Amino acid sequence: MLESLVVMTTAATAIVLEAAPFLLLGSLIGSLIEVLVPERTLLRVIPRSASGQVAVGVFAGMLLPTCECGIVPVVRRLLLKNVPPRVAIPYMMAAPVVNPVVIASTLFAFQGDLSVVGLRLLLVIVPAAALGFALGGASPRAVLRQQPIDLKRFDEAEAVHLPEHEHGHGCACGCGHVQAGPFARTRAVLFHTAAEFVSMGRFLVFGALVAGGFKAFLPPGVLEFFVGSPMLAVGGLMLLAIALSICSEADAFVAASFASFPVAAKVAFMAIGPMVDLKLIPLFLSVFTRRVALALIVVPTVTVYVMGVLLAWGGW
Amino acid sequence: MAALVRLVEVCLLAAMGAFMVALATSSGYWQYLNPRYAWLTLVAGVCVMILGLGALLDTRRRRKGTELAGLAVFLGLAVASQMLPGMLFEPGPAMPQRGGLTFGGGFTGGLEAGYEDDYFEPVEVHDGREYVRINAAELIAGESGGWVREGDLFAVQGSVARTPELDRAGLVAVTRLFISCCFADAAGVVALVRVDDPASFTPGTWVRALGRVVPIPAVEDTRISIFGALTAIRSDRFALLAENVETPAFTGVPYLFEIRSGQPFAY
Repeated sequence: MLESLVVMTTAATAIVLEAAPFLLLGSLIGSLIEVLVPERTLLRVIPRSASGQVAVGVFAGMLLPTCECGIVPVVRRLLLKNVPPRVAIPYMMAAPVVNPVVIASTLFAFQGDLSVVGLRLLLVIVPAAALGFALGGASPRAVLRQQPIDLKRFDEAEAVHLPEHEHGHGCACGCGHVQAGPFARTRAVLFHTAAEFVSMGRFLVFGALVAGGFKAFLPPGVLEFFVGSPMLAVGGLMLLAIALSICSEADAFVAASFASFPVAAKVAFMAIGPMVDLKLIPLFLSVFTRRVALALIVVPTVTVYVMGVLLAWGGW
Repeated sequence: MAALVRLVEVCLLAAMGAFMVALATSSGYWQYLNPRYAWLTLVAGVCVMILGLGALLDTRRRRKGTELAGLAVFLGLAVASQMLPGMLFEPGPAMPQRGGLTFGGGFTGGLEAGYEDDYFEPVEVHDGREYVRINAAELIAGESGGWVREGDLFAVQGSVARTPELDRAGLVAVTRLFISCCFADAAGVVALVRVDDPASFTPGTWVRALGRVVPIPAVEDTRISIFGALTAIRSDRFALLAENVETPAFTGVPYLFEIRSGQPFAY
């Protein structure tokens, strides 16, 4: 029992320590977007066609790699800046895998096996794009549940709002932009980042605690139960990925260690973890409307499972 | 009351940041994460402390109980993860000292993450023969890559694990924990060593085995249990035929953090 507690506390602490820098970065990027980037600038670089928007979202991670720990605050800010869900949602789902760092680590863990990398990307891109197309028609703010953090925290006397601003955005008065001196902007970014970090951090901590518990108390022989059939193998490793909440940059090494499992199950493990895990589920439920949050959980889970089983039947 | 809550949040953020900075600059960092990320934890810790300052100045935001609880739970976990191992493990040859920050074994840890030069002495000489120092993960990679061949001489070290199936095959498992990013993603790696009497090896004992690569004898399916790992990777073609096995007093870092493809290996 004590040994399991050691594993649980060490694993949970390690997950938070590992994720904290990325959550900080995500909070900072989100704050910078909120305070410094005008809405029009973002919208200018987004294609008009639906498929173009989805493609930009899916592959944006190649230019702006973000792991799953830090991406939710960034996406929330993008949506508040009226970036279409067709771009933001696929970016959120795909970027933790469709980025150079994770591709390289997967390649390394599987000793240069390009087919594993290709399958992993496929199993991530398909549900990410599907969610983009499905949610694309909604207005950016319609998918968000949580109200933006109140920006009234910095001195209003220092803030001069743009005359043409639209009310209803993130600031206290309801506007989205702040025209102020560098000091006021720096303070705004600092306050924003702190608020976002503390707000998102609680989900990270509680998710890490549960994930550490799974690692510690999961009966050692339980995995052997799943090896028997492709359907069980794919489902079993997917459940494990969701429960363990391993970083997308490291999960390939864990997947490679499941020697007795088929490749399809390992790929499903690596595909679902960065999209849905115990850190992300509470974040989704807190940031997005319940319907959207459920879609973000269910669509990738079902899609990856079906594709994983098909791959397993196909001999992978 | 609001000022008190704000002060609590500031203290929690400052404590979290201080823990991260202290850990990143200590030699105990490896217990949680791959030492190559120590600088990242250090920078993040400083940033969290700066956020604490921001929280101190931010008088307008309403703090939620769950936000403070999240920070408090993390600190509780951090303290427990430092304290509990000391209650569980006697400092011994198979486990590092936990909770403390001193150990010697070539690993400098912390910001100077890396190994002292002599730690990577590439070979070990025994009875006039040179055994290449290698870790279990590299041995497995070498087998897959085709550069580990039958007859090669290697030295491996790790903690002993035994199962009835391995005992029947005349094998013991020399195990290490490989950490790519953090303890949560740790995977066990195993070098199988063929010995005369597996029963004479106590599980958990740290051993250094010198041997020759031989085809693995027939062994039934078995599950090798490694502290901190859900699964273990082992060779399915080769084992080391032990020519010398020692049980040195181990005071270093038992985990592996890198896999090399050439000498000097990350022994």
